[in-house]
Amino acid sequence: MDFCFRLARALSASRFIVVIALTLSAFAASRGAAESRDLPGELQALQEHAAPAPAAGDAAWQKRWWIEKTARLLRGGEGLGPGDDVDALLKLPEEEIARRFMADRRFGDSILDFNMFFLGFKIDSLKSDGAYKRNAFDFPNAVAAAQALLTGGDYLKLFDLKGPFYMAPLPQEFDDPLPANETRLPAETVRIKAIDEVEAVYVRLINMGSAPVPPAADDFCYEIEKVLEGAAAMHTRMLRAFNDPEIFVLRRGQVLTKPMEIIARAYRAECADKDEAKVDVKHLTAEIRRAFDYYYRAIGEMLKFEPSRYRPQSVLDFQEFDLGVFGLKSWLAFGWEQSNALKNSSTNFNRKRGAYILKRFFCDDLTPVGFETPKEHVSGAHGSDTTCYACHYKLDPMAGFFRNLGADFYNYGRSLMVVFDDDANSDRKRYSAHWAAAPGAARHWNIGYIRSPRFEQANAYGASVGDLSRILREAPEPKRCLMKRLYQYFVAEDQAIDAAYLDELTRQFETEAAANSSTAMKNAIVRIVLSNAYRQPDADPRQCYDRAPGTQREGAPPCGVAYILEKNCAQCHSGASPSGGLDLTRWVTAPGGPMPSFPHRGIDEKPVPPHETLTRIVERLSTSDPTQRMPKQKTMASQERQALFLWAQEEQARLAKGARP
Amino acid sequence: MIVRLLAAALVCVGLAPAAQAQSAQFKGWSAVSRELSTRLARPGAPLDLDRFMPAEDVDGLLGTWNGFGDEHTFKNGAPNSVNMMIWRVALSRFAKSVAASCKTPELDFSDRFLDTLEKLCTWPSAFAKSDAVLSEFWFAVMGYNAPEAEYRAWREFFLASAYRDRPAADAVEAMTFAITMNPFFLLHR
Repeated sequence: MDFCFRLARALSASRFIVVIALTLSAFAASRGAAESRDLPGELQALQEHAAPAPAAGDAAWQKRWWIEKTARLLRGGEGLGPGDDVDALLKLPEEEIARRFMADRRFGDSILDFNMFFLGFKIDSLKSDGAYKRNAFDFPNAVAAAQALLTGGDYLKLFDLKGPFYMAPLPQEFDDPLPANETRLPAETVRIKAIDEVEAVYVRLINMGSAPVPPAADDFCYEIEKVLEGAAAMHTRMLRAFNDPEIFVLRRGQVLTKPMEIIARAYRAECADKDEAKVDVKHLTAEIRRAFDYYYRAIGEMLKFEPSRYRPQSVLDFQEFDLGVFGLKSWLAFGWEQSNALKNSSTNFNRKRGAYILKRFFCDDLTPVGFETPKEHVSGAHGSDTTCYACHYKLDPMAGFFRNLGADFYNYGRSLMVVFDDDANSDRKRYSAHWAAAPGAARHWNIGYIRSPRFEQANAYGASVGDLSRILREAPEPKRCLMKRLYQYFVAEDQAIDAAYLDELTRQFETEAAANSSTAMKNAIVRIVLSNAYRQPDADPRQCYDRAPGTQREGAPPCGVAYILEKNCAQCHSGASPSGGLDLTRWVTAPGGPMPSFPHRGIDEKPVPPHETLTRIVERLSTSDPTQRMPKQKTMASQERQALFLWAQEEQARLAKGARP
Repeated sequence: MIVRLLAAALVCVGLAPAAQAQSAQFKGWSAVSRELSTRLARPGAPLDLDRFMPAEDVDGLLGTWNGFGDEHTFKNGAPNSVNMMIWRVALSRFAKSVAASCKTPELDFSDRFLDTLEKLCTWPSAFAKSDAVLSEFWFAVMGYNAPEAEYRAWREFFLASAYRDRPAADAVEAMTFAITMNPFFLLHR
């Protein structure tokens, strides 16, 4: 019977019929067509034999279940196997078990998987046939943070949007078809062949320019000109030996373009701007050699990632790429996949990228809940319309951090133009001017994390991606977001969480992270796997199973919003004579009333109907009129305002349907 | 027969409580494959379970985090008639392969699982019907995902139904299939 209950919860009734039919038909099929038993009768037998739900005495079963679940979550998806001594584990305290699992090599996979979940790019499995998939390398801040966690380092590298680069092993198969004469060659051989073809071009020019008898300047310039004219075709031929993710690296590292730029500059200086007699062949040759050195060193570094010599077995084995060969000190954390997912255009002004940062690092889903009228007039600007500004006031300043990053997050900061993912381009200075602060403002750019358009002192401003990383590390919201995602990852994405409990998790994390963020993260994981919600085999997603100490009390509003109300509203809306007659700290069923609601009395002292109360709450949360907007003269975190607003709307809908909360 | 099946389904529906606001979702083929490999395969040699899929590239229909060109969310995890059909085909083939392994192992199972299977393959002997053998097989495949009630229901069903006297090939296949189609095995929660 329990089987039926479980399945029915998973499926709607109509789907359930199909499933049962399929399941029973499977049994029937296994018996053969000649079988002639009474299936419904057999099903009934199954139901009769089913024991009731596990009793409290089934502690060993319950603990084994907890161990299995925890093993799976902390050991890269691998639950208990034949190598685990379950009986020995059963004797250990749960915290000890969790810490043992975190000491396992596979914990690195779990934490990388979580980091990718945090960044919004989790995949089903980090490995395929025992080797890490390319995606696992694509988020350098996720890798760096995972490595740090395993070695007691700085886990908050997860918030660094610039840092090391971890290239994936080079591909063993190509996405595009090879020429017929290469189809049977191993990928590495094709790659070496393609690289050598380009190398031969450089070597021929260098040999020509450094021959004992130097070439005639005109001839040499002609040869260089031919190479420059054929560069695009030459590079296209070479790229047959790489797939798009590696081409992305070649492009960001300017492996093919920079050498050609060096040669082109020398060609212009010597061949185009001078008389033939004054052409310095030695200088030309030296510049070609410099170009070749750049190419050679960059390619040499990339070839260290051939699968024949680079096959990491754990996250700790992920190898940093030597960015010095690209002349870079750090690598932008937005890699190949994010470049595809977070494209910009000549018209969206990086808003998709801004929305991504708000959503993933600040847990701000940009639910439009009205806005506070800013002190500064914004009329006429895109997104300044009343409704739109509810999101744009924070979205546009966040997008500004990416103003120099064009297509594929390529840095155009030193270029005159910015090229976007839609292949359009724009004058960079004119484009950047969209984020310029008004003349006389204390700052140069209207770029930052905006908590309030009205109270600027609440905001965190900056100008560069480096500044954004600093804000992510310093602001409290990303750490709270990190704890929220951790809870979602280990418990369930849709499980209600008491805001006070989340704040308490965050407070403990922040306190411990001040000393060591890896220890803090591991402790946070332990707290969650020991939580009540984590232990529920069949949790009700609307119920909060965990509370901060001292916050649980009878008659409190629903857990999803109780703490938000306590924190932002209770100062006025509580006690014997609450403001407006509305007590937002209690949740009671009025005598004869069908549903619980906030105690609310009008000016005439008569009870205000629950739907009317909720309507007023929604209005007061979303109005942009500072005299009406709640909480008055206070900055309420937009995440909390959104949560309360959405909850009130859901309650309204529930009331309309007559359903109980 | 169809009428009886539907009647059986309706019995279950009638007994089941009203569905909660949230429905559990499938773990996805990748997660289920990994779990089975951890429990049944030789260390470091995952089972090739993809061969049981009815077609190429349908694993994404069983619940997946994979994606490209946008942020990843878990997709196709809600049970529906299509993914149930795929689960049914893939896991019934797997179950058939486990049963066939009573004679010759068809998958690269660990020695420990082969020992467990060998005992069950003596079905319908009294030894195979012992709680020790049945629970060993249950844990080997299910892990500790399900409460004891599920194990008892499964065991009693096979001890009391017509499977009691069926040959091992039939019984082991049905036992494996029943475990792998159990919601505690397939669903996230």
